[in-house]
Amino acid sequence: MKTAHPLLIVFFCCLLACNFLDDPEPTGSIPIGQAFRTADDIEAGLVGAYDAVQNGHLLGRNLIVFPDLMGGNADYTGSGWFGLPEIANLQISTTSWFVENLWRQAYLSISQVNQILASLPEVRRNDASVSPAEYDRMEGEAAFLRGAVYFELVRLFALPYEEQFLDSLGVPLVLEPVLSKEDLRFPSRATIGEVYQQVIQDLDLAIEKLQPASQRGRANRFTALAYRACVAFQQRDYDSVKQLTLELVENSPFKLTDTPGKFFMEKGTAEAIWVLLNEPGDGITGGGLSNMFYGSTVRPNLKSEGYEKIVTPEQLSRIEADGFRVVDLRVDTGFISNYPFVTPDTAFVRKYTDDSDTPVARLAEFMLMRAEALARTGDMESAVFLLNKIRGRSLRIVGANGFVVPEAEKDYVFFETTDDVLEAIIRERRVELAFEGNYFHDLMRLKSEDVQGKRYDDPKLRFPIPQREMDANPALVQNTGY
Amino acid sequence: MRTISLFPLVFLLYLSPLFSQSLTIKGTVKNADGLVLPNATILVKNTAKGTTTDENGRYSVTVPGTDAVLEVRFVGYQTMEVPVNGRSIVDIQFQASAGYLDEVVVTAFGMDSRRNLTGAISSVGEEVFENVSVPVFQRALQGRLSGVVMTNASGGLDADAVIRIRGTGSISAGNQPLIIVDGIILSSNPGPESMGYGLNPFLTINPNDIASVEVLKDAAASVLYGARAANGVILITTKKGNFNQKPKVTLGYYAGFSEMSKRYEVLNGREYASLWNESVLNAGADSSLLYVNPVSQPSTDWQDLITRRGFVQETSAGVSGGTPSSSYYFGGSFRDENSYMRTVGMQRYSLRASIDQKVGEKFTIGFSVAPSKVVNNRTGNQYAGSPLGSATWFAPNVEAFDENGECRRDRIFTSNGGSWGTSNPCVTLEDQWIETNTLQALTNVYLNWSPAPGLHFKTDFGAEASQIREFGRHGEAHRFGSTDGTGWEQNQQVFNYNWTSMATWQSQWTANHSLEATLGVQLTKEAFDYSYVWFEGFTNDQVRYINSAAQVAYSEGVKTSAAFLGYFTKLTYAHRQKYLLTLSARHDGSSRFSPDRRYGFFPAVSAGWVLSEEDFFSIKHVDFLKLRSSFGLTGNAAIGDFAYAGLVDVSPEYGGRPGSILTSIDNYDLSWEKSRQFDVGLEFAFLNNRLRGSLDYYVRDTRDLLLDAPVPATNGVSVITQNVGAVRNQGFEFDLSFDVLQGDFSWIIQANGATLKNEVLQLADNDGDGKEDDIVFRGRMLYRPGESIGTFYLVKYAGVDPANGDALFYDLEGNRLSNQAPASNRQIDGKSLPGFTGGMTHNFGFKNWDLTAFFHFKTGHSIYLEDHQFYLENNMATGGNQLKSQLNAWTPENRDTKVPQARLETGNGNQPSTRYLHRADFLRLQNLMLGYSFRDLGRAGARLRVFGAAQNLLTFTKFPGPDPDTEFYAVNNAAVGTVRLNLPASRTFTLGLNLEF
Repeated sequence: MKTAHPLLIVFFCCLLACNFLDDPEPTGSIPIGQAFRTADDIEAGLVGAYDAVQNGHLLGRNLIVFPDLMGGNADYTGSGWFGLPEIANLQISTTSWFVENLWRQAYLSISQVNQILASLPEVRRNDASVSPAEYDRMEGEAAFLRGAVYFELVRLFALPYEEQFLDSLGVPLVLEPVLSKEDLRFPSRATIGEVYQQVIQDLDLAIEKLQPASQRGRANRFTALAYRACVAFQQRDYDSVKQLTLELVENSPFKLTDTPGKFFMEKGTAEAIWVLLNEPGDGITGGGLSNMFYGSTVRPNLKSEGYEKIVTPEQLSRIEADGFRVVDLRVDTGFISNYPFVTPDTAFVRKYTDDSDTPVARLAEFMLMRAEALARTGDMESAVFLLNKIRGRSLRIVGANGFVVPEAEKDYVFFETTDDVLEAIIRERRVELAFEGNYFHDLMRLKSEDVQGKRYDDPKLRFPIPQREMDANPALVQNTGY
Repeated sequence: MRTISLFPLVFLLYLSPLFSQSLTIKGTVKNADGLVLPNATILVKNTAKGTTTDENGRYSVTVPGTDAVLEVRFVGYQTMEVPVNGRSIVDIQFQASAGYLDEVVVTAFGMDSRRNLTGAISSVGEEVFENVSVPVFQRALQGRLSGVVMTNASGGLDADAVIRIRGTGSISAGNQPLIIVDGIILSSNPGPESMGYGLNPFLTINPNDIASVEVLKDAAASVLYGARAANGVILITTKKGNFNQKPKVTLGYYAGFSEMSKRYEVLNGREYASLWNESVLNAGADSSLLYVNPVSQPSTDWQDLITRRGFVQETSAGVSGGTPSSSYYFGGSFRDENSYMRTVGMQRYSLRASIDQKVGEKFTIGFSVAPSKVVNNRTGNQYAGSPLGSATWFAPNVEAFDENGECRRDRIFTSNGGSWGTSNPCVTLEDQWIETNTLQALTNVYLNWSPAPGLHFKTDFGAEASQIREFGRHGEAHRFGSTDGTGWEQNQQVFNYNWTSMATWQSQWTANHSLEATLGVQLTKEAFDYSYVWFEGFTNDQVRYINSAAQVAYSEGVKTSAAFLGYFTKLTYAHRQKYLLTLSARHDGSSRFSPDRRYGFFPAVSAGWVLSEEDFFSIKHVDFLKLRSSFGLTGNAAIGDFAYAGLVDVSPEYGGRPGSILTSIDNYDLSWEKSRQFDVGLEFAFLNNRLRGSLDYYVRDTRDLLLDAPVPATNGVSVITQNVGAVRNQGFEFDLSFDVLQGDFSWIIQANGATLKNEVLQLADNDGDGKEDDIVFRGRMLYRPGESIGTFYLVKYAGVDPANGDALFYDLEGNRLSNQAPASNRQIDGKSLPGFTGGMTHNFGFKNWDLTAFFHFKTGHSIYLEDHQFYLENNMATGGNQLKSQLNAWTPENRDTKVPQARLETGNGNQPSTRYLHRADFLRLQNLMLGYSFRDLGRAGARLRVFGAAQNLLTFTKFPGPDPDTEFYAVNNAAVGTVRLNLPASRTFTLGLNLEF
């Protein structure tokens, strides 16, 4: 037995490994209970929320691409993105990979923000390492992101904003964090009115809490104002739009770049109100806007009803009478434009490069929005003034010798009727903001009778609730037509 | 932990009465063929003393004097009486062979004779691997073992395989069995899957090194791995030498070629342009899209351009032997294979060394090491933008080559102005370069100590160290090449070890009663890490590595680990080797569960009754009959390493700042998934052992499923793992071997088959409506109590409206709906799991000739063709090329058809429906081999055999896809039954020779 003892210890010394099972620990992750305890944690959570919102399935790409495909500005004729043609052709299936991921990514972002907003009061009490103003900023940014994402969701999954549809189905409103199995919920769809109410509440809170300046790519007071204006615009509440855009357009640090292409060529221009950053490490490079638009062609209608009619027939006759012609720097006509958005023959979308930030809000959009609100509320002079600032940046009057004739500008700045002005603003909006995710929403707002041949309230213009979600949540009701 | 420290003490108490001794004799017991017999009974005549042989057939027994007589028993043999005659070493050999039933089987605890088993084990020997040209052992096992169903993830060289033993028990946790090579639990996580399916993790194992494969199917058989054996255990034993064996040298070589066994029959340029034109008009699309002259369109066969005649060769050499105190095996092989895909290939270099050494009287130590290196040149697979994928849908009516005869790298337009980009299938193949290097070392050491007769201690340490490095690169013209090319590097490392120590006490109380008791402990640790960087911007397509890239665009990494700790005991009682009873139990913990829920208890009981040994048993032509039965629990913990914990991932970044994001939510109740299995089996040998086999019936109920129940994504997570639900698998299995003819002309038939009835018994009710929630995966695989796992749940296709060419679907009342049917009309239609599977081998011998034909089959299941829905039979909904079947589309002249009218980019029948669901029954001639042997060349025992072989020669099926035996989704998934641009299996022809002396 004497020799037996040491050997038995060798045999069974694995028994001594008492905490063997406690050894493995997650790396690269933090337990949920420890993740939101300090101001630094909240800040990291916000960065995560931006990262989630910047995802290609959300504002980083698809929410910019879809509205122009669905509205009919562009058609996807490429071969790399299966499932995109059905969105471009309004033949969306309930099992669409794009729709399912949009939904998932949107609610992931919302869930993240809910967690931040729920943790903030206690962190604010316990961690004095940052100023109250910093906490306000965090709260404002979180509220902003939630408002923005719900706004995007309700615009795509529900009927257009209209008095008669306010009680129709919107999207589920989730406002509480889900941290454990016990928190799981099976929400039904709130009404469109309720969703808009929540969006406005979140954005108003953001306007109140945020400062005018922020780091590039982050939301600030102006970003929140811009989104709030978009909401009012979508509601056709032009008086509010006028008020909300006053500060943005007239009393802000933003400035138009001197050529239309510059905003897209250069990063950090003064025209940017909010861009989602596309930088190495962000993970959307290559799969971003340029990639998806690479296989997209401009639909003939955008040329014939857009680029080719930027000046009214009366203006054109004045120009031609003087022996001049119009050149639009946004179109590649072999002229001086160094950054055309579309090519004239094959009509490919050329607005973005692999490095482009994703433009979510830029000054030109809000100048045109303000111009429209002014025109609709009777201030034609101010409206035309704003409109011509945008047009003037892109339009050049060229003489027979091929040189620009600056003084000929007067030929296109006057409009004959107030209807002409409104029509010109709307057309300018379509052209200037093409491929930036506006057109479909504008058609909804304008109650268009022809969204690729369909009326604006046609069921096929709504995204279906993803089948996966329908299968997982019996409280949901599918949109009509699916 | 306090209770555990008592363990050794209890142990010593238990053993102490045994430490008394006197005169000892030893020896080895062998059967007529000279193979050692484990578990033979040695009795000392006229005393109460006795013992049984160990796994190497060795025994050691104390006798009262030099004139003692040993009585040696083994079921099926005449009991022998052997006088000791003063010897201290008494080797014993039985005379008459008892045939198949004294076949030695590797069990979890070592070698045992099939006679003594009370658990359900199927096994095959080295013959199923020898000279069979497969890149990985799984493919040689298809159809060989009853109740073991394998499906390749793809026909690609490097593809993993789905393996299911006795059905599918788990819905969300892993369903793959535990795979153990020489005592090392291998990591079965697939390797990098950056471009399609994951790399098969077993490519490093040389099939020719395998001596046997045992499949442990029930709880009794898999005690040693019980906590993780719910999906069954595959035990692989590699070749070893024997003590006292003359050196034996084997050399082998074969070479041959391979081809794609079936292709996608797509339209040629003219056909495509015509169908396109038709679809443009039918959809009312812009007439500028029409081809002016469809019949004069060019035509390119893209599949032809990316494939070739493959080539394979393999060389192997081995030497084995042994002295009285040592035995050895050394072997090595080199395999070089070029796939039928033009840029795809694989080289495997593998070595194996194994040494066993007796040290003095009481110790044996052993060591084996198997280093290997595999280089895979890979390509993208099974997605639309992969070479084969794009070769199917890419416009055929364009030119593929430029004026220099090179693949075009410019942007391709069809003559109607359609843009197809620069990444045509040829570029997709040539400008994607992936090299995956795997280095692996499997190492095992053990120490046996037998301090007294009948008492054995064994400690066994096995480790797997693997590293996979992958270099990838896309050229500028490639669809993933961005503007200046992209690339990636990936580094993946696995280090697993398991350490098992056990003590066994064998006692022969009297002539009729023997008892064996085992106690042990087992530690397992699995560590995994990987890192991945994606980089962009190269000066040209020739430079490939990260140092020449302009920037790192993306990176990620993971480091994780899991630990298991188990205590086990096993008690076996045998009465005259006629009545066998085994009790076993395990107590296991896993770090995968929260600290309060870590441990599970897994007991099993099994019994056997050898009827043919009974005195009253005298049925003519029945040589052996054994009834056995078992009941027990096994566990499954194949989930993510920290699935119980709500975690916040800290990898996101935005604006150059680090961030965090919720990835999972707290779920502390999670614990083991348990399978409760009942098995009853009959083993038999009839007609002078010419007909042998076994028949089993089992019921396996998996309870407390580790179920990833889908939850609304509005919660921020879309699934949550819960211990809820139950699944039942039940079926009959048989293994038969029949020597139809013996003598000069011999014919042996081996057949196996298994039925499977799978049923979901119970699921979760998460939405609180009092009803169990259906789970629907991928919109079409249904999990519902009362139905088989992953039952197809689809809208029924009703053909075409003869009036207008609209696709029709049935609603739930049986009415026809035109053109589109909402998902609310889905109904159950067809199973994804085969109901009857098996295989059959015919072995003919005539003098020096041998011929083997092996068939396998699966029946009773359907497969959904996602590729047909998404790309190839969608009535031009995506505008890409279509299968020839679409030429039969509805036209005013062709109204009687099942193919709806083609409408460009407009859905007409391409929604998910039974239109794309097809029965996938098949019978395949998997292997045909003809050989001729030259015997006794130069010296006795030397042999030269030349042979020719064909793999995957013929397939009989009505399945319209390219290969009915592949699966698109990950191998661990419960829901199988999808094909989407899977590579078809290759057909291989080889010639070779073996030399043995």
